[in-house]
Amino acid sequence: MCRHYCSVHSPGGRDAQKGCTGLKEVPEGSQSLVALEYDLPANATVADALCHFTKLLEAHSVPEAELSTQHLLAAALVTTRAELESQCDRVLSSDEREILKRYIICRVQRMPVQYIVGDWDFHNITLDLWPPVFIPRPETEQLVEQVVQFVHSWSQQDRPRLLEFCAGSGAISLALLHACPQVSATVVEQSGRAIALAAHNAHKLGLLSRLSLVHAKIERRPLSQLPCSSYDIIVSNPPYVPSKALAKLEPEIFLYEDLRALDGGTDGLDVIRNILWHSAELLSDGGRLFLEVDQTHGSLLPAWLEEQKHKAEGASLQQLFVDQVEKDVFGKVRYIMIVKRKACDGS
Amino acid sequence: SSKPPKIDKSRVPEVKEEDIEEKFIRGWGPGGQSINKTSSAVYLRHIPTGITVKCQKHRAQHQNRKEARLLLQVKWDEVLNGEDSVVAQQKRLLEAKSVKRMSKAKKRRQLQAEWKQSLRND
Repeated sequence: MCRHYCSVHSPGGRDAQKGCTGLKEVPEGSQSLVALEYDLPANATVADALCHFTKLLEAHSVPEAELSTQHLLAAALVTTRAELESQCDRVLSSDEREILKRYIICRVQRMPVQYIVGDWDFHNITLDLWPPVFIPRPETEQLVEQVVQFVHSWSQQDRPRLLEFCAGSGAISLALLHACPQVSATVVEQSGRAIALAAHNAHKLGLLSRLSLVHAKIERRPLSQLPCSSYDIIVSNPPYVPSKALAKLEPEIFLYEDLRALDGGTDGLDVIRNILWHSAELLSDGGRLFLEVDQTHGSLLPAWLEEQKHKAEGASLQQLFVDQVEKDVFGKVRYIMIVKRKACDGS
Repeated sequence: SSKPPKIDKSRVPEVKEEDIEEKFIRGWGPGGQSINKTSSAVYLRHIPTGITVKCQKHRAQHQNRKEARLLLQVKWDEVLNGEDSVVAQQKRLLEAKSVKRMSKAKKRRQLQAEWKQSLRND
């Protein structure tokens, strides 16, 4: 196997260049270059592998080099990151070295760790993840928590019915079904691959009996395929990134994730507006819509809703009221809660 | 065997959410969907006591946040109650159990030795 070298910025070195220029074959004996091989020696330990591949990823300007290496090594060894510490001196088998090598090659190509490893934890469940289905973000765990709190305060006799738009891998609904045994859910998703993954995850978690899956695109016109005519809770993490921001996304996202899960149009509200139109019809009286949004939407969405209410075609939206606008743990506006009130209660 | 002795948890302090300062590493920019990072480390500082904890064991930030709060409570319990903390009580219980096990084994060996001796005597 020929040796591949990655040139790294080294002050004073003849081949000094910023960052990584990619793999190239170089004659043996070039002292100014750092040899970064993908093949570990047969006696390599866990500690050796961690050190070596962290350096390799760093040399390739891969973000979270050390953490990525830990996750990939733990996956290759079929263990957890916490366990790695106690196994520092364990020698890797040749199978393990081979698997880790493949994982590292993928990571050098900026493939997200979650896709390489194939599964990830979200809230209190584990989800399988297939590219290019959108990988759940930690902010969305807080969205789930807000719905959980609402379900716990549910005082009505009937079990709450949940509807999720843009479900992707099924993360939100499945986390909620797991946390709240009395809830039943319907998920709507336009991507065939994503909805297959959601069904797969539901089956794996033993939640399929409480879940309906609808393969449909959310547009302005009503959906005909929903099993229920009204829902008590509607939740969504819809595409909300303004289109012009898509160009600034890191390679992990624009190379591997389905950008339809992110692109919210010019102001990021295209899909959200349609969700509001649907919610006006589908929410029961007193029902709530829980949305994850872009930080600019905290003011934009209430303003749009108010504007629509004064238009002739906005009659149905008059029943919707913005109840809460909350920030995420990073201090950015992230959640909007909207309640449907049919009768005028003077508020 | 008899019921195991209970651990006294009455002195464990309650960590109030409003007394916690929570920090995460997330980077800059708009955040939300536009970032995909695997780092989910949670840092907590308990304002009244100054106790700090860090938890990055789990892949889900939600789980790290829960565990960090538990770790904070355990740490505060140890600082506040010392010998009477839950951890100290558990340690004493385990030591007592192993002493009991050792003396049981010692007693068993003694009886076996006596039995063998009686056989030789016959």
